[in-house]
Amino acid sequence: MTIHLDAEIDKLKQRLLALSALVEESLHKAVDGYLETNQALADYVIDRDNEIDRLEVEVEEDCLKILALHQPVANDLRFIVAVLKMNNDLERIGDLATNIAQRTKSLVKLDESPLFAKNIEQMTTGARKMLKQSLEALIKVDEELAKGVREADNEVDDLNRNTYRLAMEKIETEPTSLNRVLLSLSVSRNLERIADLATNIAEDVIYMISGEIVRHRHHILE
Amino acid sequence: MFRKSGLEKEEDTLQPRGIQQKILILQTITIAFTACALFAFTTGLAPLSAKTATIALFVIIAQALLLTMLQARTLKKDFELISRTIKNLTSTSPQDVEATPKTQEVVEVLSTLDIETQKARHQMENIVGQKRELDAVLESMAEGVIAIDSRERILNMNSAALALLGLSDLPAGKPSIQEVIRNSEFQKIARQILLSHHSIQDDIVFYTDQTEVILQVNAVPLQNSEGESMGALFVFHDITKLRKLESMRSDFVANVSHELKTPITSIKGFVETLLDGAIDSPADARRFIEIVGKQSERLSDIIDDLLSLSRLEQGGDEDQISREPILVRTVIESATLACQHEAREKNISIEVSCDPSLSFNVNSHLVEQALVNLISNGLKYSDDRNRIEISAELVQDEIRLRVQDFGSGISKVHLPRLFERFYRVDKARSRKLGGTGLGLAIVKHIAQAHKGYINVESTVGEGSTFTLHLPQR
Repeated sequence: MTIHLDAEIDKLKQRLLALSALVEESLHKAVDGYLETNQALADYVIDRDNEIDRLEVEVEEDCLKILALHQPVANDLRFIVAVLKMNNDLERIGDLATNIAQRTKSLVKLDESPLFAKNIEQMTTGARKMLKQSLEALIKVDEELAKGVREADNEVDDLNRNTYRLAMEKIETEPTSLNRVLLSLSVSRNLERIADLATNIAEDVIYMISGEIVRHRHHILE
Repeated sequence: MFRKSGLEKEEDTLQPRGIQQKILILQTITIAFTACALFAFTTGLAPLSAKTATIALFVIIAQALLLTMLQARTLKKDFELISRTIKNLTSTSPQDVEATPKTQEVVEVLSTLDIETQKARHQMENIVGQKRELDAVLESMAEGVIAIDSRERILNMNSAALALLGLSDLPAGKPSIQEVIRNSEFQKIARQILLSHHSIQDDIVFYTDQTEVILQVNAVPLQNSEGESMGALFVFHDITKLRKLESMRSDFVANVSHELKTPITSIKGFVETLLDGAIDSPADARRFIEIVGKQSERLSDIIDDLLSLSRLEQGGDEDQISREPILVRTVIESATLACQHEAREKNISIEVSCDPSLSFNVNSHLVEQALVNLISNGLKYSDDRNRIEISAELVQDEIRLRVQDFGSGISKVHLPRLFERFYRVDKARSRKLGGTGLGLAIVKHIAQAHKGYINVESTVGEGSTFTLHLPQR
């Protein structure tokens, strides 16, 4: 029985990681598409979202199947619960990447170049690193790595605030560029949300390892 | 057969005896005792009484027991010897078993064991050696190799594969490919090959931290001797450079024909119109001929640039450019002067900051041309009433000339290809702004002819900085 359960859990892990690879790539391509104002990349990301959605459903079904058939306890149960939540978060990141791709398409329609490219590039680097690190924490079952992700979130938040400041300045000096400013703001916000979701994933990993729910308890860090 | 050799050295007391021999001796002794007792009894030497009979029986039994015990002890020791020898068989650091057994059969067992051990050890050494050879071959390959089992877990991965995929090390145990290679295309291929058992070839873009590499992946199914599927093997080949060269070449051919074709088409068209009658209307004729003149000028510009490029390439290769010491400031000033007209038209200010005593040993004409190209490039991509900054500094025997604009900037994708001949960031826009598409290629070659180089940093919407690195001497 436990051998079956172990095999199922291995399969589930593989599937979740396959989903995460798709999501990571979507994020990468979405932002590249935005910075290059590349319609083809944007279309690709939007197209890919269907596959992400499909895989999310599959992972969820796998989880439910394991819960019903094997009634796992302790470690295994925590793993399944964590996967259920990470699955959701990953799918949301996929959606946000699609949002960014939509902004790219609007930008292409306006025939304009993106604003605050430097800021957005930095935010992307931050968000991608966080996502990567939280997944690495899951693979290596490394609590410290997961805790590091939570700390990195502040940086992305700061950058997002900075984008807002830049946006206000730009609107004052150049009111005609309002459309571009709004698009860039939306991208910045989506990136900030992605970083938050990466933090959620890291928190789920911490829960999976230690059984401790660290959400909403940021003082633990200090 | 062993027995025989034992018989040859009968007189040697240490020589082990066979179990049969020993039992024979035992039996002989027992029979001898019994015979003695019987003889004593029958001859009447010992009158038979119940007491003497019992004593005799006890003596016989006691001596039999004693002898059996002794025999059991030697046997026990011999068997311990066997077990030690067997343990040695599998241990990596065999110890010498010194003691010699006392029973003939054990000697035989041990000697057989000894021969077989030697054979097994020899085979083991062969196998280990072969594995090492295979590992060495795998490790020294430039191609990345990954073997997976039928459950998508990695069995083997050479260091070239790790390097190509930008990984530091492989997690312990049998990690799944999803854990190690987070690339959906690759994962898809792995799934496909395990289902279909047909080899697959594909080019996949892998993203490492900052860069992307294009790898050609050859996947073949692995089968065991019974023909059952047991996984798959992937061989990775880095084709990033090849791809880059391919696209460079095809783009170059396409671009060069386009750049040359555009003015020629225009000249041909207007000349035909003129011949068809427009020549009789002086106003039109004049306008058309002006256009023809402008286009032929453009054509000659392109050809001049191409010629100077090839001259630079030759000169750079053979180190033939003439150099003279000159003040950096002088070169910058003459370059800005050449661009002054263009700058004034767009109301762009050019700010120069340079140490007046700084000098270098260069071909001043070429460096001036490089600077003019960079400045006019900056002017083209800046909005009206903007500014351009030029600065020079000496860093470790190297003069760095920086030309910074605050114009539209260049997207990251274009940066690596910016210095290619006829490479256009935005095809429609660049041609509208004029230029031959060779300016930056010329700058690059001028830098190379001076054994220097050029690099560029740029952010979309914020402007670009070109830095020319030239050795001072």
